[in-house]
Amino acid sequence: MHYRNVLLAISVLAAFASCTKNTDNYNPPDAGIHGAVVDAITGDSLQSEQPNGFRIRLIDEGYQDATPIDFWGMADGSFENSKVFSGTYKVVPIEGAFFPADTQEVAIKGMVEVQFKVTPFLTITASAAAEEGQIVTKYRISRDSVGDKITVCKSLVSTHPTISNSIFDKAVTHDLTGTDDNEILATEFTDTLPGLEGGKTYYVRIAAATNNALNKYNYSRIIKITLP
Amino acid sequence: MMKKLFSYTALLMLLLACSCSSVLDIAPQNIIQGKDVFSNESAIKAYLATLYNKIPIQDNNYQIPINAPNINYMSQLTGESLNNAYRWMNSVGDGTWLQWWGYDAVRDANEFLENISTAEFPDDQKKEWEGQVLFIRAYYYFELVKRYGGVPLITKVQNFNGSNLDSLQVPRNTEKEIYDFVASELDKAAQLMGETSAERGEANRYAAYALKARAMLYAAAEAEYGHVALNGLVGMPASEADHYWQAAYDAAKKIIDDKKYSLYAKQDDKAENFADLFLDQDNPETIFAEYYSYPDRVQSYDNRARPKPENGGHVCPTLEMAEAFEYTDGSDGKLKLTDSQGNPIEYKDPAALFAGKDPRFAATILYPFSSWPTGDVEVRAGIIDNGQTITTNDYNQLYQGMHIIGDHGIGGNLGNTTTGFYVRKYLDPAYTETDAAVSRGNDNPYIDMRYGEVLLNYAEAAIELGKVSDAAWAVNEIRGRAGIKLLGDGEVTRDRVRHERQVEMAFEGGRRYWDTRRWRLADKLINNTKFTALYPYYNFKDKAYIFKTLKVGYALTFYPKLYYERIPPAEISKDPKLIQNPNY
Repeated sequence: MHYRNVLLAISVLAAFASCTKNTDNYNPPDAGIHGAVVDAITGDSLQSEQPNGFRIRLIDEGYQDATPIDFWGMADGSFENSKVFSGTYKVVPIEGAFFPADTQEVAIKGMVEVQFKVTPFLTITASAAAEEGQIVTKYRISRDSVGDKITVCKSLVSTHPTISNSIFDKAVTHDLTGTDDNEILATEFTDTLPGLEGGKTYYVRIAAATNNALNKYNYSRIIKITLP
Repeated sequence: MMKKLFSYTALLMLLLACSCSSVLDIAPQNIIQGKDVFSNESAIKAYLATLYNKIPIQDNNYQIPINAPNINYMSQLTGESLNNAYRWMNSVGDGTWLQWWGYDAVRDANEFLENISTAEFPDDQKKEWEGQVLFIRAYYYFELVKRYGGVPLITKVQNFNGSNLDSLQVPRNTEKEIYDFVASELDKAAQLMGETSAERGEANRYAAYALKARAMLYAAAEAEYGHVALNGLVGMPASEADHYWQAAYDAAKKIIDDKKYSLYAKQDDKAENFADLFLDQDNPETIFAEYYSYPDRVQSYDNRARPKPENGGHVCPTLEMAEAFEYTDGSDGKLKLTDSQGNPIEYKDPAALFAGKDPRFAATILYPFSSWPTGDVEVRAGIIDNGQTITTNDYNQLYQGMHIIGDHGIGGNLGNTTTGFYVRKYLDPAYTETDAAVSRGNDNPYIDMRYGEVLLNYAEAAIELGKVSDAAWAVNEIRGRAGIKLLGDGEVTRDRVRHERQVEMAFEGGRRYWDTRRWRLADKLINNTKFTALYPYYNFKDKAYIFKTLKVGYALTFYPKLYYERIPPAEISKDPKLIQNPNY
C-alpha cells in the first residue's frame, strides 16, 4: 500500500517538474483605456443603457488580422477597460444608437483617456415633475441628422437607477410608426405615470427609437425624483 | 506488489509494441466502411435515417439545452407557457441557447450525394434517394440560415490534404444566397421525389413544397421587417420581399391544388377532432412527421407535460395564451372574470367560465376542472369563507373537510401547475399516469409539417401580397374545421392571419418563437414582461368559484440581438474568415 502512495507522489512530482516559473508566462496586461462617448453637437455625454447600449472595439495594430477586442460601455456614455496590453490600437465605438463613428488610433500605455464624438440618431430633452401618487413627464425629441423613421417613444419609471427600455416598473408607450417624423419633432409629449407610492424615490427616463438595424434606443438623462 | 506492477508495465509495453505491426490495420468488423455503404440497400436506408435524424426539429422531446436542471420547452420563450414552480426561466436566451452549427450533418449529406450516383442501383431508386437527401440538406441550411443569417455554403465534401487549409476555411455567404440555395434545392428535390413517401417518415415531393413555403416565408419576413447588416451577411434586401412572398405563395398553392392532403376532420365533436389530429396516426393532414418506435426511440412529452402531481406540468399555458383563443362567435377571447363593476363573477360550475370558447382551446389546453382520464383537473388556489382567504401549500390541509388547494395545484406538489392551466395538445388520453407509456415514453409521432400549416403559410403570403380573398379562403378553411365563425373578406387583416397562426399552431415545435422573431415583434412582445396565472378560489358559503389573476414568474426580455444567434466562437477560431453577428 505504501508503495502505491510513494509511486503516486513520484508521478505527481514528475508531472510538475516541467513547470518553471518564468519562461512560460507573459506579463499580465498593465495598460488601460477609459473615456466617454459624447454628442458631437451638444457636447453632452451619450445617454445609453447597460447592458446592450454600445461597445468599444479595440483592434491591436501589432498583429495582422488581429481579433477585435470588444467591451460594453456604460449607461452614462463612459467606458473603461483596465486590462489591456500596451500597444497601438485602432479604437472605435460601435453598435450604439448613433451614426457610424470615426476610428481613432490610440497608443495605449498606462491608463489613457479617449473621447469620441458621435451623432446620436435622436436627442431627447426631458423634465419630470412629482405629483400626488404620480409623475408627469414632458419631453421633446430632436435630431441633427436624418436617419431612419422614428418608431416609438416612451416614458419609463423604475425604483432602480439602472432604468432602461427593458428595466422599468411602469411605462407609457407611444407607437409612432404611423406619425410623420416632422410632426413628432414638433410635438412636446406629456405623459402621466400613475400608481406610484408617496415618499419613495423613483428614477424617470425617456426612451425613443428609430427603425435602426440593431433596434437601439436613445435616452434622456435619468431624472431622480422623490414623491411627496 | 512491486513485482505485479512490473509485470503489468511489461505487458503494457508489449501491447503498445504490438500495434506497430500492420496486423491490426484491418477494418473493424462491426462498422460498415464508407465505400461499402453505397452497395447495400439496407446500409443506404440506415444512412438516410441518420441524415433525417440530424434535422434539428424542435419536437416534443426538444428541450432548450441550457445548463440547469430544468426542462425548458420552446413555448416558455414566448409566454405561451411557463414552467412549474421553482423552474421559471429568468431569461429568454443570450444568443447561444438555440445553437445548431450542423456542418457535420451537412458533410454527411454531401458525402451521400457524391457517392450515390455511382452506386449500382436502378436510376429511379437513386433519383428518389438523391431527392430525399437534397431535401434534407436544404432543411439543414434552412435551420442554419434562420438562426445565424448567412453561413458558409458548402456543397462538396471537404478534405484536408496537409496544405489546403486556406481553401477549407470558407467565409460566410450572404443570407440571400443561402435562402436562394434552399429554394432552388427544394425545387430540384421535388422533381426527383415521388408524390408519396416510399416509407413512413420519409419525405416526398409535397414535403419539399411545404418546406419551401415555410422557408420562403422566413426569407420574405426578413426582407420585409428586418434590416440588412454586415454587407448582407445578415438581412435580406427589402426590395425582394414580394419575390419571396410570391415564392411562398406558389409553393403552398401547389400542395393545395394537388389535393393530396386535407384537413383532419374525422370526428363530429370539434374539440375531440382537433385533439385527435395530433394523435391519429392515419392522418390525411400529415405531410412530414417524426415517428418513434418503443422502446428504442420514444417521445416523453406525456411524462413531462401531463397533470401529474409528482413530476409533470412542465408546460403550463398562461392566461394570455388561453385568452388568445376566440369565442365560437368570433368575439375576443377575454375570459369573463369580473362583472361591469369589477367584482368577481361567481361560477357554480367552474368549467362554465370557458363555455363558448373556440373548440381548439379545450383541445390545446386543460383548463381548471376540465375532464381528463384520471378525473377532473382539480385546480384550486384556496377557499374563501366569511371574507377570509384560506390558502396553503399542502394538499393534505383541510378546511371543514375540504382540501384547501386542488389535487393539481395551485401550489402543493412540485409538478403542479403555476398558471392554472396544463397543456393538452399532443397528450394522449388513452394512457393513464401510471402507464409505462407515460413514465417510459411511447411512440406517438410528432407532426413537423401538416396541411394546416400550409394553409396558414398560404394565407400569410397572400395577405402580404394583397390577395385578400385567397387569404380569407385559407383562414376560413382553418376556422371552419376548428368550428368558429368564418371571417368576411373585409375582416381578414395581417394581424388576423397571424393571430390564427398563433392559436392553431400553439405549442407546436417552437413555431411561435420563430414567427415572432422573423416578424421582428419579439422584442416588443417580450420586453420586461411578466405573464399571468388564473387562480380559482372556492367560495365556501355560496358554493361557487371565483377567479383571480396574478402575474407570476420573472419579467422576461427579448433583446434585439437575439434576432440572430451568436456564431460559436470556437468555429471562428477554426475559421477566422467567419464574421461574428452584430452585438456579440
